[in-house]
Amino acid sequence: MKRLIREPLLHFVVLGAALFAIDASLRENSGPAGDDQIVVSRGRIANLAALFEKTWQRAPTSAEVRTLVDDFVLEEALYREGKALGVDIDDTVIRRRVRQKMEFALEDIIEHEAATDPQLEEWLAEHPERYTRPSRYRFRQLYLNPERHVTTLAADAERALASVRALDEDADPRQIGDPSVMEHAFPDASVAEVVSTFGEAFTESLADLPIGEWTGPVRSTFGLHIVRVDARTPGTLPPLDDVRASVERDWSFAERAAASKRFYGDLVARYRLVIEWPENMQSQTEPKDANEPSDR
Amino acid sequence: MKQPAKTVLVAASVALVAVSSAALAQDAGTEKPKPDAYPGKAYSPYAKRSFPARPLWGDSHLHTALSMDAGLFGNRLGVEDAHRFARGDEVMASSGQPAKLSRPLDWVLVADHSDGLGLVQDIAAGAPEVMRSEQGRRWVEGMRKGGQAGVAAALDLITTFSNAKMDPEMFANYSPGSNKYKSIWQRAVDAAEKYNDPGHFTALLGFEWTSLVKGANMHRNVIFRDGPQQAKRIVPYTTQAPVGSPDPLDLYKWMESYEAKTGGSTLALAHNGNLSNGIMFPIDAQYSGRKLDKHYVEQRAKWEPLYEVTQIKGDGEAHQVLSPDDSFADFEHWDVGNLDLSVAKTDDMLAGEYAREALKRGLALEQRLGTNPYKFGMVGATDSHTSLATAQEDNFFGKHTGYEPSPERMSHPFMKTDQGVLHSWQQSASGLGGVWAHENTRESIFDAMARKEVYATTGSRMVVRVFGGWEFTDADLSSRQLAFLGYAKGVPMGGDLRKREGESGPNFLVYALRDPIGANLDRIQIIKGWLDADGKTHERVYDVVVSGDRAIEDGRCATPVGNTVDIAHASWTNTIGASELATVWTDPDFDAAQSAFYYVRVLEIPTPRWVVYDAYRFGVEIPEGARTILQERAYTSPIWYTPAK
Repeated sequence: MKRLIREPLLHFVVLGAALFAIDASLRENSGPAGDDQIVVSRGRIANLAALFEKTWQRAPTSAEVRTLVDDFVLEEALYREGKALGVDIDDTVIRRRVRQKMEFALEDIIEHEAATDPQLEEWLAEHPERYTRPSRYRFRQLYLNPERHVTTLAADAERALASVRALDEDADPRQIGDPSVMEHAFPDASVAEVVSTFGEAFTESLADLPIGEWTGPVRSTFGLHIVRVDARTPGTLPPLDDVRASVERDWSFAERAAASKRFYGDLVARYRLVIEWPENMQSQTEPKDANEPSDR
Repeated sequence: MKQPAKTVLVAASVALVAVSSAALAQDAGTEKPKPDAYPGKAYSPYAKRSFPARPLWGDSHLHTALSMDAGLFGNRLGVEDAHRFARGDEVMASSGQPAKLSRPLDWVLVADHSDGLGLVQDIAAGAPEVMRSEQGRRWVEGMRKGGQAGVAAALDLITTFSNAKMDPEMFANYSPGSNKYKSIWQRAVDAAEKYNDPGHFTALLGFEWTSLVKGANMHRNVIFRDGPQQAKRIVPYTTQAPVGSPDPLDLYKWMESYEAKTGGSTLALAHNGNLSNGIMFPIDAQYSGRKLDKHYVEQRAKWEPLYEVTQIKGDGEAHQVLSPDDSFADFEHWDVGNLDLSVAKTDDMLAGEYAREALKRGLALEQRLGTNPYKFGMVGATDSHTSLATAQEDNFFGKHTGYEPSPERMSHPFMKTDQGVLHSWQQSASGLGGVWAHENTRESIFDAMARKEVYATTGSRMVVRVFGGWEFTDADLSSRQLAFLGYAKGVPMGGDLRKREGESGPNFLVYALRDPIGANLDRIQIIKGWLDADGKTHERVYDVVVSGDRAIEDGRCATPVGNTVDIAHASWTNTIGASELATVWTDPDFDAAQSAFYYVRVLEIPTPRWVVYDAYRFGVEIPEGARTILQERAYTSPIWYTPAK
């Protein structure tokens, strides 16, 4: 089936066949039998009555059924004459409706395919960053606020590090460094939690620090920190079964998007395009790259 | 984010030579540790916390293509795209440009309008149910023409809806009772559920109940604590007869029946009182003329523990007409008229519209009727109709698809009637909700909202904490574990002060840390509202701690923080302000016989508004009259004091 998905033009054939089948069943049911004949089958009458009931919440009387049939006959006749005269051409509403029906039918076919385990395994291996359980850290930090160490920040950081290293293992180091509203100890913080408090650069630094000793200084967007990582649980890529639902969701989202893109691309490629761009389209306004404010 | 603040910090060091405090600096590098400032606790760094370590950031008000106005304005992104974007993925916006958040959100609530859910897809397709009706055909025409005609059709649809003039036969297909409606709702719930990832990312379930009376906004978002099992047993409540009603009392009844039927829990939060022309926070009678009574105040207090105080359609904390002594009250206001600008605003309406005044009215109503109906916590949200939860000035995708980034988006009016004009540059790139939840799950986030331990920001992710009590002292500030101390000695935002101890006024341990990639802080303020012995309400804004060595005299710092914004280059620097601020503040004017509330407002240093980034990136002019600079801010839920009986 994978090959089928990768072969968009085949969709069109499948879809064509499906539409043809519906069309044939309708013709059996009612509708045009020949150019000069309008057949209203029992199936069609039942269908008209059901539509009436849906709107009015009751079955139509026989008089109302007759009116419905008369109306259907008139609609069919006008539809055929209108089509013959070409009034459906260039009508935005009709075009949209036809497009929508096509897209709807195609989406069903694309969505119908279920992923196989090898496909999901392959997806997982190709996108480890999406499913890896982030690293977690057990760490403490002491903060040096640059506003308070205007010209001596680096030296003060070295002194603070020496002071904390000189302490007994179980002594309280919290008076070293500056008072801050940032938490001192993080028993079990995910990467996301660390980033949300200290920013990305600080978080990246944690990955390479030795375990069980005071070290630093480590820079954050706030200033310098003396840091002690007491435990690090590295990120792991879980087995498929643990993340199956997420992998399936993302695989099918991507597959659907890629398949329809390919399909519509191939569809348009069957036509030779002649587009008469207006002159002013030659020099379009392109946005500049996103401006980065100085501390971002 | 890739560039740490190296250069800024160096610059800050130079700028702050003059103000650096020697007394404070001596803390660093101390040879021997002092005893712990919080006595009775041995050093046990990883002692288990019983409180959340960080706020969870989210948007409780996001619309997708399922909302009829969003669809009409050209949004083609559905519920799945909205969640993918919120959790940090890059998506293609409806206008065909890639969009991505600077940082993922922790949670999101897609809150599509319950009325007419799915209608617009059928208008776009010219479906027979729509074409049968005269007004339906009119909108199909508008959509066919596209561009500004499409926008006009959307506005016409909103007006028709807000005046309750929808063709009933057509609208029945897009209302509770039809199978079509049920299946649209259930598919939306399933799509959200796919992205709910407990512990990592939460997809809250809910909807918007879009009550409008003559264009006056009484909208509420409804949030469930529950998952699909409960949510799929109901369909959302609407405002159009015969099933729905625009009266909040009927919404409360529906919420009660939801809980009874499913065993679940739900709450509601209103928004855009600023577009209600005075009917959001009534003091005497409801919009219908019905007098406020015990029933009304009890029901409102029970079902509406929160208010959405800031969003794209304007900031609703305070208004300068109501608070002439508040020099920061004139901020990002939409005060021209009601939602569809069919009735112009008059000053007498404002008191029923802004959060601060509502908190005050609540005290008066509590005295009169026994319950405070406006005892709400505060969050910010976007109310974006693009499926893209963008609240950052430098990454703002506008109110709806027609205002996604483009060289032209600043230049035409957002809305214009014979009653007034709203300019597109008045869109406010706001806001976010910070939730002090223990875990990133539906239940935990809902519970934090229910106990009001939440705060609003205008888009910044600054950390703000406040604890109210009777025995905080300045010495507490030297503690290196403020939150432990705060919870031990006081109550957090959203709470009620414990029974009074001693003779002094209540005191508040309050602190804020700037967004790690955002602007420094200018000041922390505490805003007090109270009810006097004559039944009159009052308010006062106290500056409680400010950056640098600026003086605070009689509760006010008259010296502005300064301004580093460079309009031409759309930039600013953290060379002024402070990265963190903390203080203990005691109410100097406390009267134990008077009920009161206290909430915190934190101001950042000035930064550019989104129009400045647009002008720089597209090389276009900023429209005349457009504001270019703002001070982003946070508003916490209040802490209340009630006199002992």
